[in-house]
Amino acid sequence: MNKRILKYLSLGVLFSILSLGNLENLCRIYPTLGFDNQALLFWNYTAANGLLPFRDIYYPYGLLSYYKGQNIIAAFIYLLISPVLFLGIFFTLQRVFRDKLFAIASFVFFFLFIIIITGFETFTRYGSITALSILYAYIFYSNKNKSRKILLALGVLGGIILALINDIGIYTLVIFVVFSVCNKLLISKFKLQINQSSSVLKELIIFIFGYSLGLIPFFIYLISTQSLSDFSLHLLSLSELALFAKTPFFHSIFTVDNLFTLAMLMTAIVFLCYKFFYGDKKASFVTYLQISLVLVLILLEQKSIIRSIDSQLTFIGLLLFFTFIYELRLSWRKYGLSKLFVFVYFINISMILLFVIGLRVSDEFVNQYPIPSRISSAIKVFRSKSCVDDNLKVLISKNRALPEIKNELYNTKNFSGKVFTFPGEPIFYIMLKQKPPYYPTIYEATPINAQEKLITYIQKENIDVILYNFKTRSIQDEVPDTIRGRLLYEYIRSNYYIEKKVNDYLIFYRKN
Amino acid sequence: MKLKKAIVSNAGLYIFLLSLLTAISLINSNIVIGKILLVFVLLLVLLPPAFLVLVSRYRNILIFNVLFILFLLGVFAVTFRKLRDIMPDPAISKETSIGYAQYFGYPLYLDSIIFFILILSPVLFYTFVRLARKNKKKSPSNILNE
Repeated sequence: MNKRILKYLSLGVLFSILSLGNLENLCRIYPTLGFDNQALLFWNYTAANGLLPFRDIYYPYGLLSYYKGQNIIAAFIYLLISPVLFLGIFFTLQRVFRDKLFAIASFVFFFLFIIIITGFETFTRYGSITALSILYAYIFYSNKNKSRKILLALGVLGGIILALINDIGIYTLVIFVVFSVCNKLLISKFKLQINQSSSVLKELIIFIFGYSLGLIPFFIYLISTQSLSDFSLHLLSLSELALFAKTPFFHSIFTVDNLFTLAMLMTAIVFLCYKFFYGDKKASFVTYLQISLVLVLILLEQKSIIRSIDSQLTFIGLLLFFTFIYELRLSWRKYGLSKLFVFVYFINISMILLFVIGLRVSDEFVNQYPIPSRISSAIKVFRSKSCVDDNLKVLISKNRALPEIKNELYNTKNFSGKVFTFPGEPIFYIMLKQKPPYYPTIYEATPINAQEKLITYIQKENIDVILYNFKTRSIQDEVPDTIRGRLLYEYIRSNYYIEKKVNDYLIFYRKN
Repeated sequence: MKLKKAIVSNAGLYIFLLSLLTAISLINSNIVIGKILLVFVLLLVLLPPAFLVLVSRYRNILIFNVLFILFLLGVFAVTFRKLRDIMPDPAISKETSIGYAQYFGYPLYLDSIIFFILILSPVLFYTFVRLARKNKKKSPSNILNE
């Protein structure tokens, strides 16, 4: 027992050291003034200034991401996730291959894949749901481990995750429900008896009860910060988000990342069906693992169908690929092929996937290598809370128009120090150190009620000056901003007049 | 036994070829040569799994399943535009949000429907084959033969 604990601890320390590159994600330096970068910096600014997500600011990613750059506990939890995920993946690969050589080689390949292709940020987010799904696979496979306490604990974990990473918390619930039902259908070969149906129901009730318990701290947080109604509205608005964020899926399907992931998914589904109809009567752990990864991929592909996240799902396809290597190895044994043959075959494919087929390299890759200077710099920035200011310095040095416009604004008569920007350039709220609107850009404020909220903000804050970037026709998806934000645009045109033009901006003044 | 010997004797050559092509692909910097090499490398990589399918007891079912999926992909590729035009565009009113789908008139659920048809197609295929086999076993001529 002590040897085991020592082994877990040593591996945990090793993976923590290997994950030090993730420190960079506590404060990223954004190189350009793109709208996505501005929105992310905007949220750093609001977190640093004590504005609360859901109540004061629209923020869709959960408390962990919001506070990781400001709060030591959030930062610690955020940094702990990657090593824990790596540990889980390592033990899973050990369990799958039951061979040190393959387990270590596949883990090394997986780690390199995360560093080069996926990135820590994505791995923390989607790796969490993948690891949970793998945990469910283990629980459902070893039926005897499926005690009420464990189901309750899983539910509590799911509820806690909802607070920390909102969308992953919801996926956790969905995957457990689907997996629970699938498991019983598999065991009963699709001839579900009444006692089995009631057993599924009991599992779901225990899990959902645990999930509700896990939500209690978040519930207390929402009540104490008077954000409960705002969070509820935020949850309800997610369905509307899917409607206006939708872009064509099959038009952009021919990326290497998409083709790889979908090929692994389809292969897994064909293979699972084959095993179910013509294979062994009892499903192995690898089969349960494949089912868990297929469920995660199907769920996340729905997100990708709305708005492509192709490069963020490839690591799940990679895990499926490992299970295929295991199955191939088993089959090749019958034909006298040695372990060395399979190993060299595996290494070749690993090299091809990493360096030859052209999977998209992570943006973070260049900055993730944990050299001592990067680590100390990241810690220094976190401690001094200078993330926003450091970013501002970089962006202003690269965009001379920004200080020019700021000066022009201050030269304007009776300037109150507050602006509103259309379609949305939150950098100005940061530069002017003003209380920002609820939504950073018109893209997040596409729904009519969101635009009404922005109009209310303009009226309540007595904004006299509107900054309109007329060079930007469309902030996202080639939809003209004047159409997307038609209510807001009409309000601006009706209540403000063009005072002057500075670089790419029209400065609107309030009509008397 | 003969097959086993043949496989073991050729395994060395196969892995040598694969390693050589992989190494050349890694050091190659020409895009055109790289793409040609990639095709050969992928064909080589798929050779062992393809062999396993061909020697499997239910190879016909597996092959027809893959062909069925490819057929469906082909059908959707050819008819995609028609399907896109047939399906209703998202409604626009004073209260609706206007994103890509609403502005350009792209059906909201077309992609999801096609996606689910494709991922469920193996399940439907195997179920159909299973039922067809059961019916064949239960047919009068088979009962008489028993």
